[in-house]
Amino acid sequence: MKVLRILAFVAAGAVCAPAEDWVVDVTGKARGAPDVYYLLMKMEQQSARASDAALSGEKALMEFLAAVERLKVPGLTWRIANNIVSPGDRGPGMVYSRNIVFTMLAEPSAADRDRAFARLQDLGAKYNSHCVTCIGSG
Amino acid sequence: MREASELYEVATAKAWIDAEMRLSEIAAAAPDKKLEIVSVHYDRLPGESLIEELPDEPKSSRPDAVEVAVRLRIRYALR
Repeated sequence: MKVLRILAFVAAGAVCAPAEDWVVDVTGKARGAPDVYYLLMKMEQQSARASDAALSGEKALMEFLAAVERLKVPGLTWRIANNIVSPGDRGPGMVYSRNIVFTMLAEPSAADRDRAFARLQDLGAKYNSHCVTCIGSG
Repeated sequence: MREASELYEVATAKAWIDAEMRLSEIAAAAPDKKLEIVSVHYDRLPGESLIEELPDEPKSSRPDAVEVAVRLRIRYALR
């Protein structure tokens, strides 16, 4: 009787065992004209002490953003990201870095947008800020 | 302003068309079995800025287009 039960269990298992699953991977892509442009800039300040680098870095950042404000570029917004303190690669000391992401809608003409970004990059050069990935879009 | 979701909808529709075609090929290759979709995993991939690069010319700083992608992982069984 016990053997019959085991045989019945095995037979049921063979019938009800889940079929093996397989996988299909597909990727769909869509392309469009950008409606937002981004400019990523990085500001770095180096000092012997990390705290000094951070203080002077924040001061330079505020001055840079005040100067950006004075440019009065229509439709320009920005956000500040990352506080990075790392050993200096150009001699002793610590480097304090901040990233600034500028965002501009694509509505102004391409020429206006290029001019605005060029002005931002020129201004950044005066404040020890430089373009990192230059212009991206979304 | 265009919503990014519109591009993702288009990308998803394209992925589905591709998936249906591949699944129908699989089903046709096994006529004695029934193909059942077990699960679909939907994954939005990050958008990319497309910048045309020409030989011997500096890369433009102005993206020509933005491209988004959707990946569908479809788990199926043949019963």
